[in-house]
Amino acid sequence: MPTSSNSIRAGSEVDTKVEKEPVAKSPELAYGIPPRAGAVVFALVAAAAMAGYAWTILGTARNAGDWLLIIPATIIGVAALLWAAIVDGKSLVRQSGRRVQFLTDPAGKPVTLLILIGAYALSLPFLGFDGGTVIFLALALLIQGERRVWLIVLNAIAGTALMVWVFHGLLMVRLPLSIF
Amino acid sequence: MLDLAAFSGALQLLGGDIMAWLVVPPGIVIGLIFGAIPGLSISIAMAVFLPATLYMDFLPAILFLSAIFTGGGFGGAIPAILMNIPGTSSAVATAFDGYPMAQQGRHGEALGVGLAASVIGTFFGYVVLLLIVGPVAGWVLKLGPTEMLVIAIWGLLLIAVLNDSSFAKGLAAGILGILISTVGYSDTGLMRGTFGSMYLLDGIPAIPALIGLFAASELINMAGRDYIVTDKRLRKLEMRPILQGVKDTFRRWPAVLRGSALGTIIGIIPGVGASVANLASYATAKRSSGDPDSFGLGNPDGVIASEAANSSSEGGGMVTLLALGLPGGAGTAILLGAFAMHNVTGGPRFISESTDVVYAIILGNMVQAILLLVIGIAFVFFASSIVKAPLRYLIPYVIAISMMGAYAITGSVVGPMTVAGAGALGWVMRRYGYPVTAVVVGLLVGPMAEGELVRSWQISGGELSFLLGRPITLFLLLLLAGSVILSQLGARRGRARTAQKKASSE
Repeated sequence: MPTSSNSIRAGSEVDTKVEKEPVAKSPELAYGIPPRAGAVVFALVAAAAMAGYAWTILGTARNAGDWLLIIPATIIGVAALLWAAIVDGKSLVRQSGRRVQFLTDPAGKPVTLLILIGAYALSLPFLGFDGGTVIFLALALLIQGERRVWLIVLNAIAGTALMVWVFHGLLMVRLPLSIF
Repeated sequence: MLDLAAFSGALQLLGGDIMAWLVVPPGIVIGLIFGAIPGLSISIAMAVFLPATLYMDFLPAILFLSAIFTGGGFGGAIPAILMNIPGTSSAVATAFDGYPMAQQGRHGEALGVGLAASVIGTFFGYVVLLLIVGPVAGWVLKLGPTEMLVIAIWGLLLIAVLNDSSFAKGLAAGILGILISTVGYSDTGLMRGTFGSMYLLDGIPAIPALIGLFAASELINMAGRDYIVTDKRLRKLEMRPILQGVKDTFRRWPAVLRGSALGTIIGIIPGVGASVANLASYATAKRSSGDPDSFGLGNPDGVIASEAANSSSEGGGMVTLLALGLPGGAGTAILLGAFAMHNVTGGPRFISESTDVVYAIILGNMVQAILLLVIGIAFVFFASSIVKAPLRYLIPYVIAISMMGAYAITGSVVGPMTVAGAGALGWVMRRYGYPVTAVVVGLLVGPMAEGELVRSWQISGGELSFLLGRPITLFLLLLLAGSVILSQLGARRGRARTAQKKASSE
């Protein structure tokens, strides 16, 4: 189950010591969690977002019911995030001291797919599900490594037509459409 | 406990109406299909087919809808096991061990285990319903907001039990889920976190968010890989492992009964239902296991715990529907709609005046559970062919289907946008070791926790001494504290064992 990100290789040319990472114990951890500066940044940004949200609620609340859950939850959440940031930060410092490098999955394809999914969702009001899905399927297949043009075109058009028919025609979901 | 005259009347009702049986197999297949497609929940299936029951008599109408309910109860497990995408919120915990089993090439076994646990769970839930539908009506009415709040907090604390990365990250992720669930109009009409967008007035839709956090983030993570099962030799489509899984489940009967019992009890509590039952049962199974470390790595007991509980909670949910006329969740709410369409009102009076009909519904559902085993085996055999599909095709199609499913749920682009946003959040969280499951639990339990907290505050006037007059609340609090302490001790013991193993291997 562990992917390549779970494996660790001796990093720098000086240090050949290999540090074993704990075995992944849940699906969330199957992709490995090598110490990353991004984890500290994420924790701090999330803590700031939580605190900011709670602050706006306090400023506009009409009665206790508006903040009764949010304020205590935010206090606990921010404390937990700061604690996680400290632990991740310590781990990062410890790791850099050992000069051991983690072998990580290349994030290029996931990030490109992530951006494509976002663009697909944003394009739906303008292109409809038919137009948007045709473009999404074609580009996603391309990102995933499919290079045969006829297969990309066939999947994009026939796949979209089938899905739109199932949802729009069969299940009577009134999808916004622009072509079909 | 059991009215024998009414029982005999129920058998006559079921025997004399062929239509009551003809509608069941199509209902189960519809439920399986809708449950298996991420984004198309059981409630959507029941809502879509609700108008079709207008032309049926009351009993066939209810049996048809409950057949969809039964089929969908297991259908959600199929994508959870094969793709780590729970088709419904009730199959979240099924993915914890079902997906690792699929990755190891044990997808047939996992599906067989899930199906058998689901069948036994459904049957168990309805047997219990048959026995307690009368007496429990009075008991459920005694649960007030403080008791419901403790139940909600217990659901939230499961986060700490389920989370393997760290307590702080699990807690933070759970709180994030709770805070996301508070976006939109509050009960007092205050707009919270909407940034002035009218699309967010109703809040962040939970099911599209769940699809994004689980499905989209997982699919994004898979980008660049060839197949779900890496080893080509394990990508086999066989009936034998499915049947073996079914057989194994019967051997593991204590685990099935534990999950079924817990699911039934949780299902009885209105507003909690299968989405909490599967998580609670999984946590309990893990805590009481002799090898808790194997959970999350492909332990069949994890699949059994989740599936037995979410299926048995259907019977539990029917208790409040029949006894009180209160729907426990979306599925039973639609059944209540079918009751209304046929001019029937659930409640103690319905039970006393139409006991034979109530028993006929329960017995019909018990037969449905057995039919689910037969239909389900054939269905999962064909569904498991997904392991042969190349991921470069599977990923774009599943994302597109999820987007359309999310639109079907919300009726606006908020659904697809939520899937995209939650997918991005889920991917980042996975990357930095935050459990996305905790966010989902927070999202699902958040609205209930807030509602009950506000009601408790209003009733008590903010006085903690109010709790002293609520013995059930105190008992539940004791149970909560006990379960947290036990789980923490278990986790500490597990860490010590791991450290010991590590030391001895070095």
